[in-house]
Amino acid sequence: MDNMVPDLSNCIVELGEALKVNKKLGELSMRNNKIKAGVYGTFFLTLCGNKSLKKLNVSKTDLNDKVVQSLVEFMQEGTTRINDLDLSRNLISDTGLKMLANGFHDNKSLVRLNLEMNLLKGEGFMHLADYLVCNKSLTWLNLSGNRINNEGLVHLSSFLERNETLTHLDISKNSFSDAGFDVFAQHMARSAGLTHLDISRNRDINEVSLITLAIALSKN
Amino acid sequence: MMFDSDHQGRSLGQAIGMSGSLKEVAIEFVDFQHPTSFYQTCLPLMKKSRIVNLRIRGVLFTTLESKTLQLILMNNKQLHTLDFSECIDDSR
Repeated sequence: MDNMVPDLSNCIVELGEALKVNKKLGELSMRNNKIKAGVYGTFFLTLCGNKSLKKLNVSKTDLNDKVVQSLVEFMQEGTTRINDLDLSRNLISDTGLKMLANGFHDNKSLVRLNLEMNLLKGEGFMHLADYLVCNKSLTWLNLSGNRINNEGLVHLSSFLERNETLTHLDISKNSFSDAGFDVFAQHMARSAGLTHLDISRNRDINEVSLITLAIALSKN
Repeated sequence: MMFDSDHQGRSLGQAIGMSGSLKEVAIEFVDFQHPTSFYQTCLPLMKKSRIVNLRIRGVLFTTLESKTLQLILMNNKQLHTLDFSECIDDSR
């Protein structure tokens, strides 16, 4: 009966080995699976060299900062063609965000990045903003349902006037208040590329801040 | 749905293999109780197959299911999309 014990960790290793041989698979979804961190890291390292995968969904798979390190190594490979990466509902903190942002600096394939419902808060957004300033491929970014505080939002704001590529930004359901949002709104006046901004369900933003945003958008 | 005998997997596998037009297969929340029924279902996918989209959601993965998936990926030259979401559930 030993082989009846569910063990997706083994499966992941075997899947990675198979993807070394497979040259056709373009989309892979492993959403909502339990995978051990050590094995998960090995999986991403095994994927290095894969040229066919374009869309990868690893939402809700217990992916933490330790695994992010291996994911970054995979994404740094010159051969990767991933353009849609879903990392939502995982355990990525500011440390992981810093690794992602620094690691993706030279990546030219990524178009959509979903970081919804992770543990992102503040300091990591300084690095994300640096990445966005240099980036010419990412057009869609979802940061909804994190814990972005005022410090984080102020850091993030700095990319707005220096990036023309990002068109969709979702910062709904976070923890920032007027102090951070006012700075963001002022930067929005000089934003060059955004056409879709979601700020819904941020309960600590009052009407005055929204008027600041409206004025900024009228100048945009 | 429960597959508790070998012929269920074999019948479904044959249906997949013999279809001249099928491009998508979704095997979702099926309880493969017979040890070889998942393998039998997927057997045509390890050969020349027209299937480009395979969804195996909510299936209990044992070593046999893992090996089967590995064989599909190593031998199938057509498959473009693979979804094996929700394959481990703590409550099981």
